Amino acid sequence: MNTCGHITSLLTRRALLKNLSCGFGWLAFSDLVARAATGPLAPKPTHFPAKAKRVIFLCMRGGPSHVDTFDYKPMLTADNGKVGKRPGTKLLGSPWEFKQHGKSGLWLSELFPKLAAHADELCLLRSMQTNLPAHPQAVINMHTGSSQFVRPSLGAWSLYGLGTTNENLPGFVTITPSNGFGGAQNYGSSFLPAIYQGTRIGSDNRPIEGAQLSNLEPTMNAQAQRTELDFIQNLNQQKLHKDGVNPEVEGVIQSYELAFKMQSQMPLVIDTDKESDATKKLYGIDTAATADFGRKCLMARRMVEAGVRFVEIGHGNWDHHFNLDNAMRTNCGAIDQPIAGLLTDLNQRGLLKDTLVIWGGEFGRTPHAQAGNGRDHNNKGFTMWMAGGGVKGGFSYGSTDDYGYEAVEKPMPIHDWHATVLALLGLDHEKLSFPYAGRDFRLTDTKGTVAKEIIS
Amino acid sequence: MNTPLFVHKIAAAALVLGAWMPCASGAESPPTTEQLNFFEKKIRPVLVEKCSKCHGSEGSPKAGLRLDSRDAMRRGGESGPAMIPGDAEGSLLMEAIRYGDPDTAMPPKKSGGKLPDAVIADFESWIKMGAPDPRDKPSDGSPEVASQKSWSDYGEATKWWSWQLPQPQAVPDVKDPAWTWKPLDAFVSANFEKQELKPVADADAATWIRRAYFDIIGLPPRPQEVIDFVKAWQTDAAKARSEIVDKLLDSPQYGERWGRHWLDVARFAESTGKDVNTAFPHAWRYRDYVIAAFNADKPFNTFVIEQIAGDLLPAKDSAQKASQTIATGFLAIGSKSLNEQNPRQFALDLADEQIDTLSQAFLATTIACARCHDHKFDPIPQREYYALAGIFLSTDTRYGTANSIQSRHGSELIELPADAGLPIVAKAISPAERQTQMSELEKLKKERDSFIADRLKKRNEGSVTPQDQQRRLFVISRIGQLETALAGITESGAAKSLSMGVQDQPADRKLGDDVGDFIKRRIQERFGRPAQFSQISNSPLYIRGDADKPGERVPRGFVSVLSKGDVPVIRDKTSGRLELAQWITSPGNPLTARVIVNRAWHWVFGKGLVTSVDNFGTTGNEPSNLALLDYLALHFQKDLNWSVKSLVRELVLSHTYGLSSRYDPANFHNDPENAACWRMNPRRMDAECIRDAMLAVSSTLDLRPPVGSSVAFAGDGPIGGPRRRSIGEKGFTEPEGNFRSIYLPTVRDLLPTVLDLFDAPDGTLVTGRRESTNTPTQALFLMNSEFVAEQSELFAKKLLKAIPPSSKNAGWGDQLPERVRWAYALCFSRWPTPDEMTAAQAFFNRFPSKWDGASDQSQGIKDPAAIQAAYTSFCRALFGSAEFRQLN
Repeated sequence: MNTCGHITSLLTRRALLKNLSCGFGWLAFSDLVARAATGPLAPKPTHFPAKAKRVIFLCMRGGPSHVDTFDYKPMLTADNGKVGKRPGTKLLGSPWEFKQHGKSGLWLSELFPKLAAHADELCLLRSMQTNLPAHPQAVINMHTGSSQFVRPSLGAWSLYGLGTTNENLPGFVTITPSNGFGGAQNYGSSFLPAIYQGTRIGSDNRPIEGAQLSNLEPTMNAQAQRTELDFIQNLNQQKLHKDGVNPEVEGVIQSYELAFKMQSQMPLVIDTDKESDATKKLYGIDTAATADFGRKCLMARRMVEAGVRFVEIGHGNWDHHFNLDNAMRTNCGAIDQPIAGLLTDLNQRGLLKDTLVIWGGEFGRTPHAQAGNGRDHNNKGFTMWMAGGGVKGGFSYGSTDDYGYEAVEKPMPIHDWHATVLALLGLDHEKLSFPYAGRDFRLTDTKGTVAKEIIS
Repeated sequence: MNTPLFVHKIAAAALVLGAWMPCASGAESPPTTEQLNFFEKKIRPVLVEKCSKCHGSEGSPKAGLRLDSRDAMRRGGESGPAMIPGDAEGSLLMEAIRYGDPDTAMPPKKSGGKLPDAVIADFESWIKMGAPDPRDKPSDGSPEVASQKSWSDYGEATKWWSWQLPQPQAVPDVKDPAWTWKPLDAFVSANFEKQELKPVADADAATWIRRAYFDIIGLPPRPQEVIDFVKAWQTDAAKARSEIVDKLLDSPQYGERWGRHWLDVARFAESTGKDVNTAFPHAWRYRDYVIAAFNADKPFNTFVIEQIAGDLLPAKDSAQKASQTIATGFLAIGSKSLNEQNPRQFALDLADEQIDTLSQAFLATTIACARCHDHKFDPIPQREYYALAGIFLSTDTRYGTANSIQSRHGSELIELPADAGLPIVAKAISPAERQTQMSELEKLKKERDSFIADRLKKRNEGSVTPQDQQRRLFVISRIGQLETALAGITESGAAKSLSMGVQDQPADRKLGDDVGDFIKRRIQERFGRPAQFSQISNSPLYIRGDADKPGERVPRGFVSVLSKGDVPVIRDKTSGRLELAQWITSPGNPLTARVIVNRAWHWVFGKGLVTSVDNFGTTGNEPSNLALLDYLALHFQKDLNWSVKSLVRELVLSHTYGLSSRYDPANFHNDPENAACWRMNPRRMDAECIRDAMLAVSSTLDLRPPVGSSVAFAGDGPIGGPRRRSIGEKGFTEPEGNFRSIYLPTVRDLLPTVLDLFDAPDGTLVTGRRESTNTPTQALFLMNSEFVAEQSELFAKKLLKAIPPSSKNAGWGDQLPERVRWAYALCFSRWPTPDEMTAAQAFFNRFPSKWDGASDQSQGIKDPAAIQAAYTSFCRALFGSAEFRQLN
C-alpha cells in the first residue's frame, strides 16, 4: 500500500481498471474526476464550521517595518536618537504620525490614510515572531512552516483541506511571486499531490498587466481536443500503473484535467478590463502609482468570487535598510488605495464576511536606525493583520515592548499563525495531516496554538 | 600632489595592528594642557566654522567624511583617513586645505575659499604634534557595528562540518563487494547496511541508455542506438555502458548540456535585468567559452581561475589570450541597476554582486551576507567581506551598455586580439558613415558642454524650458548611443572583436588626469566610476553597508574560515584576483572541490549529497553521506586532476546510477527522500531537454551551434517596456530557430516561454538546483502553444514519410501499428506495450468523430490532410505525456 497520494490512488486505480478491462470502451478520465466525490479538488467537509471560505494573502516580501505602520510606539518617538537596545545603535522614532481611527480607535500610521477608513475591520496581530532574520529562510518559513525542509505551502494545505468550489480553476493562485527567497517552494506542494501547488501568474519584476496566462485558447475543436487529451491521460495512466507510485505522473494527469477546464473559465476571470471605471478607480487602477497593485487586487477578487480557494499577491521590496523615508512612502502609497478598494469591494459584494484577507511580510524591522535612515531585520516582533473571514475587526492582538523590538504579550510564532488561519477556514491544524515518510505531517509540525481570541 | 596609495598603506598597516592589538589606540599618551589649548584656540574654531556644515553629524556628510569628532577624523571618509597623527605630509586634510588638488580643495569657494596661510600652518603643527583632540575619548577602535549574529564565539562557530578540510576516506568494506562497480558504490552500500535499506533492482538497458543520454548530452538516443545498445548490453553490459559513456562525453553535445548547468550557476544572462533592462550583446562569448571549456574538459581548477582572473594569466597565443579574457565575463554578466543615481552605490553593488555570485558558485557560501554586519549565521566577519570587496573595487568590470538618461553606468568593453580567429557579429560601417557619426558626436558633445556650463546660471535665473529639457535628454542619450557604436568599430569602420570581462584598475591613477575642469567633472559625476574606485586600493569597511559611511580600510584578503593552508599574498599593484582564484582552488580550501563534485552529483542523480547545493553554510543542509562527499572531493582533485568528464564518467558508470527508479514501500518508509540512494530518483527533465527532445524527435533540431545570439544581432539598447522601443520583447520570449536551447536568447525577466514554464532560471541568482514544478500552465502550453503544434506537425510528417503508405490508395489505418511503434521508439526509446498499441488504435478510431463510420481501417478516410491532422494530434499527445518529460 502506498503512503503517498492515497487520495488519488483509489481513483486512478479504479480508472485504470476501467480502462484496461474495457479495452476500447475506456471513458474519459475527466468524466470520472467530475463524478467522483473523491476528486482531489472536490469540496471537502471542514473539521468544524468555517468562518472563512477563502483567503487573499497580500504578501509583502522584504519585511515591512511594523513600527512605522501598524505598531504604534510613542516611547520610540519620544526616545528618538537615544541609544538602542543593541550597542552602538540609535533609536529611530517613526517619521510618521499615528492617529486613532474608527470606532475602535485603532492606532494607525498616516502612511495608510485610505486603509485607515477600514480600521474597524482590521485585526492587528502585533506580536508576530519568526525564527530567523534572513529573507529566504523567513519567507519560506512564513509560507511552509519550515525553513529547513521542503514542505507544502499554506495555500497548498488549505486547498488540500478544503478542495475547491470551482474545479474549472486552479484552487491556489499566486500572483507575481518572488523568484528568489525560495521561489516556487513558497507555493509548492512538496509531498502533497502536485495539483495543490499554486499556479503562478506573472513574476515579481514585471507588471501584472500583460503577464497573464498564455495558451488558454484551444487550437482545435473541443471534441478533437478531448480525444487527444483522453489519449494523453491513457498514456499517463499506463505509466502510473507501471511505476507503481509516481506522484509526478499523478500531478501531470491532474494538471491536464485542470488545464482543459481552465480554457473556458480562466480568460473570463483574469480579464479585469470589463470591470466598470468606478471599480477600477476604487482599486486605484486609474493612477500610475497604484495601478499595478490595484490590478492584482482586482484580479484576486475576481478569482475568489469565481471560487479560487487561496490567492496570494506578492508585493515588494520592503527591505528598507536605507532610505526608509522615501521607500516606505512609495510602497505604502502603492498599496493603500488598492487594499482599501479591495476591502470595500469585497464588503459590498457580501464576500468580506467569509473571505480572509491577510497582510504581512516575513518579519519586521528594528526600532533602531540603520544607515541613519533605514532599519535592519527584526524577527522577534512584528505585525501582520487580517480582515474579514471571521476575525474580530478593530481589534489588536498581542504586543511588542515599548520600542517594538520583541513580542512580549501573546507572542505569535508562525506555527500559531498557521494554526489560526486554518482554524478560521474550519480546519483543525492537528487533524489536517498527510501521511509521508511513515508519519503524518502537519503544516504546524508538532506545534501551533490557535489564537481563539481573534475569532469573532 | 596626491599620494593616496601611500596613505592607504599606512592606514592599512595601522589597522592591521589595531586588529591584533585592541589596546593599541589606547596607548596614545594623553594630551597636555598646552596641546589642548592649542586645539581649542587654533583648530576647533576653524573646524566648526569652516567644516562642520558639510562634514558634521547632520544628514549624510560629504564624501562620507566627518570632522566633528576625534574618531571620525581618524577614520576618515571615502578617500581614507583624513588625517594621520604625526604625519602632516601624508594627511589628506593637509593636501585639501593647501589646495593641492583642485578636486579636493577645501574649504570650497562658497565657504570663503582657501584658508589663510597662518591657519594652514597651525593645522600642520597640530598634526605634527600628534593631533591632540579632547573631543571624545579614544575608543577601543572597534567600528560601530550592530550585529545580530547567532555565533558569538568565532572558534566555536568554525567547527561546522563544511569549514573542515575533506578527510581521506578508506573505501569501506562491504558485505557484497560484487555490488560495487565503482569505489563510490561501496560508500553508498555501506549506508544501506546501516539503514536497513535494500537497493532496488538495476535499470534495464533501454532505461539506462535513455537516462545516460539525457544526463550527459541532454538529448534522446535514436531508436537504432537503443537497439544496438540493448544487444551489446546482453553480451557485456559493463563494456556497453563504458563505450556509450565515452562516446557521449566525446560528443560536442556534452558541452552544451553541462555548459548549461554551469550557466545556471554563473547566473548567465544577456541583459542587465532590473530597472533599465539593457542588452549585453557580447555575453554570448562567455556562453560559448563555457561550452568549449566543458567539451575540452578543461580542468575545473583552471576553469575557476580563468573565470576570476583569466586576464592576468600568461597566454601562449592570441586565441588563448582571447579565451581567458572572455572567461572573466563570469564577473561581468551579473544583473545591474543602471539607473542607480549614486555612482558609489553602483560601484559597491557591482562588487557585491560579484562577491555573492563567486562565493555561492565556487564555495556554496553566502559571503555577501556579511556586507552590512558580520554574517549572522556563518563565521564570516564583515571585515573579511571588505577584504574581498577591495579586490573587486580594484577591478575594472567591463560590461558595455550605452549611456542614456535612464542608464547612467555604461562601461567600455574589452577588445580581443584581432588574430584570435573569433567570429564577429556586429555590423561594419563605411569610413564615410563613421566620419558622419564622429562629426555628429562632436557637435552633440559641444552642445552638451554648453548646457552643462549654462546649468548653474539657468538654475539661478529660473527654470529650464521643457523644450530645452527635451533636447538635453535627446542629446545625452544620442551621445551614449554614438559613443558605444563608435567604440565598437575600427578606424576603417570594421567591427571590433569585443568581449565582456574584467581587468585590473591602474595601480596609481593621477586623479587630475581624468577629472579636469568643471564640465568634465560633471560628466564624470553622472556617468563615471567614482575616482576612489578607479585604482587599485583597499576598500573601506562601510559601516552597516552604507555607501555614505566608509570606515577603516581593510587590507585586501580572503575569508579566514576557508583558509586551511598557505594563503597567497596579494602582489603589489594588482587587484588580488589572481591570488583569490589561487586561494579558491588551493588544497587548503575545504569547499571548492566538495562543492563541484556535489553539483555534479546533483546534476547526475537529481539530488545532491548536500541538497542545498549553493549553500554549505550553517543554514544549508548537512551531507547525507559525508564520507562519500569527501572521498569524491579528494579523488577528484588528486586522481582525476579536476577533470569533470572523468568525474561524470565515474558517477554514470556506478552501480548507484544503474539502479532502477522503482518505488519500494519498505525503503520508502525508512528513507522517503532517498538520501541513501536506494533507487535512482525519478526526475522531470530540464526545460532545455524537453524542448530539444521535441526538436530531435521531429528531426528539426539543428545541431550546428549558431554564431552569436539574437541579443547580439539586436545590438545595444534597453529591452521592452513602453518607452524602451529599441528591441522588441517577442523575439526573446518566442524566439525563432531550431538550434539547441542553450543558444536561445537569455534576457533577464524575458526568458523564452517554453523554458520559463519548465523552470529554467532567469539568471538573477546562482541556481545550482532548479525547481521542478508541475502545473496546468505547462499542460496548456503542451495543448495549445504554436511551438508544440508546429513540432507535432513536423513529427507527424516525418512519421508518415518514414513509414510510407503500403499502397497508393491506402487509408488512415494503413501502417498504423508500424507508425505507432516507430513513434514510441523515437519518443520513449522503447516499443509500445500491447495495451498502449490498443489505446493508440482506439485514439485513431475516435479522431475525428466522423471517422466512426469508417468500417475498413485499411481503406477508411483517405484525405491526406485529415490523416496528417490525426497524426499531428497523436504526436502532440506523445509530447504531452508524462513519460516524455520524465527520466526513470
